[in-house]
Amino acid sequence: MIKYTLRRLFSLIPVMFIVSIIVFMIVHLTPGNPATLILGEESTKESVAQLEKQLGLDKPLLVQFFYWLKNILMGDFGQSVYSSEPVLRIILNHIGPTFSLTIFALILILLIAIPTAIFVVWKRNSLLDPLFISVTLLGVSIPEFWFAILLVLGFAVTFPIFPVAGYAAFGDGVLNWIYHLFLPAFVLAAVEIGLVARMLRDGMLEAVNQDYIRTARAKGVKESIVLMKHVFSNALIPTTTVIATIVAGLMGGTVIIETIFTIPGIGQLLIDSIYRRDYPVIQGVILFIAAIYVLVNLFVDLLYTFLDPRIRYD
Amino acid sequence: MLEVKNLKAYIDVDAGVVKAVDDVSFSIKAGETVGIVGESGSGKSVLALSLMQLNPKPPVFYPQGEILFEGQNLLTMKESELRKIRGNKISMIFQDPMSSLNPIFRIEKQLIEAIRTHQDLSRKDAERKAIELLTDVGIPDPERRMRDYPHQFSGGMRQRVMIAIALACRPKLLIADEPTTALDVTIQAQILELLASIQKKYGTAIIIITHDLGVVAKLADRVMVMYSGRIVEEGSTADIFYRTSMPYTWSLLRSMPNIGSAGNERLVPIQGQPPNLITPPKGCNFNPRCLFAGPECLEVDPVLAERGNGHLAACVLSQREFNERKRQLEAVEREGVRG
Repeated sequence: MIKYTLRRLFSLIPVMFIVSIIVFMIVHLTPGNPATLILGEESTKESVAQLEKQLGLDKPLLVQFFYWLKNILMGDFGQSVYSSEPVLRIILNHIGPTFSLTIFALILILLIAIPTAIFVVWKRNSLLDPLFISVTLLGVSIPEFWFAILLVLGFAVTFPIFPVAGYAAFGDGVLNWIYHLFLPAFVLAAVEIGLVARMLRDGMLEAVNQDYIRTARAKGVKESIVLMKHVFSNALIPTTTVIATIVAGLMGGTVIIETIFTIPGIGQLLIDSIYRRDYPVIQGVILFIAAIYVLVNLFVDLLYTFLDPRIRYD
Repeated sequence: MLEVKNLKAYIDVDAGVVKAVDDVSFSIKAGETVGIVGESGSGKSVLALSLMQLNPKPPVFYPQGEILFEGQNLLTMKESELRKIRGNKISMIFQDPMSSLNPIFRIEKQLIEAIRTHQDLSRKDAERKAIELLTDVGIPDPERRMRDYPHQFSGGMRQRVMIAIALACRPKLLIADEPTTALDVTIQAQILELLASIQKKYGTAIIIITHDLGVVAKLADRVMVMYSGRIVEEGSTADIFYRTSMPYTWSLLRSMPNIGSAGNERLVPIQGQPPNLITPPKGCNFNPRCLFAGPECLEVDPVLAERGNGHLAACVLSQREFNERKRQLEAVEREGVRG
């Protein structure tokens, strides 16, 4: 297992290397001189030249790339052109809200999707199942921004239960944190609940007719326990992949929701940096998101060995 | 101990209603081993699952009959009452040991679940009991093997684990649905020996369901032959093998290899397919495939009739007529082989 983990970690190197090439090229593939783009059309030749020097743009491309890569490997992601702060510190400052939002949304997703799926499978021969399929389809189809605005209108304006926007850190009190994050997390969750519940239902319906489920019933085990213990654990394996993709997506910043609710997370940072043509920050954020994706996927691969003992990597 | 009276188990499918079990009656005495023999699709598995009330409802329903276990009718029993019987007084082992154990739980967990569902034992005691059970069914090094997952066992070993699970509560009746079909021949013999030894040791009644007459010959005291959802012949194992009373059983015997024979005996397959159980043939269900079928067979649907002490058969031919036809046919076939 340790050997496998190390091998997998090692295999991340080429992936991240390719990602870094693409990220690096962003600056050079956008038309025009990056320095002019950053400073605007009316900038003077001297200031452009100075910025080019500061960004290292006056050197050959390959040299620039390896220089940039070397700095990143040493933890130096460069400086923001806009605020002159180190990029790493900016990203770290914006992780908190995105992380909070992700965790909150994930808890909501699991809390709603799992019992719903189990209940639907339990009542699988009733009309509940077609109803469930319609509702989940509706849930998956709802545009996030529309649902967010609707919820704000309903539960922040008409009935002011939650704030219209804003963010409070976890350290400022749990209740305050929940108070601010509930609506955005719920919008994020709403879209994914349908997907996760559907995956779980499909997996459970497949497992429910397996021979080993019949064995469990033949032991005299209660149907509710058969479903929750035997059927659910077997259906969890395919669902985990979907959950992982969701988590990676949420951690990568939820641009729309963070913008609507003015949550200072990674998504908003990315949008702001694009507006400001703050290339070092854009590059840093994209690298960060790519790393999150890759790491979450690795984590899930390792998690499989706990969920399914038949999977052994060594 | 178990008495099945006029049981019907039908399956509601898109094309119609499949009469999988059609008016079946029989009884099992404590400690007895009974074989139920039939081709695929003869309704034997549906019958077996009926006894546990484990057929999925829908599509299966029971329009008629009673299943009396120790005097109580399982068909009208509440689910919570049934659960107290399943795995406790009646247990079951299945055809495919490869898929009958939950792949993601350790053997230990699955055994202990079987024990603790019906017995109020501490985890420690249940664990001790689990080791005992595994030793009983011949799994070497049970303390260690218990911590393994099903995929770490061979097919035969898994079937032993299934038997251990079935025996967890010392059931009065063990239903074995094709217990050796998925195993290779040497392992088959071992599993059958194990079942026989359990029968001897605990006095468990066993219903063994199979398409393999060899299995029945080895284990059963009494045999029921099923065809198209019905019992067509019933009797002691000797009755069935040596005093065969109806064409289907006879055809089934002729289609089976016999190690004792000289080796030049021909196997005769049964022609045709088992009948469609949605719209069964008019008259006797076996008439389209029967070598002795006469005009009467297209009209009369024979019922089980006494052919000897406890020996029943469903055929319009009397024992004498049947023996006569059989002799004629065999003589003709011998001529054919020589010529």
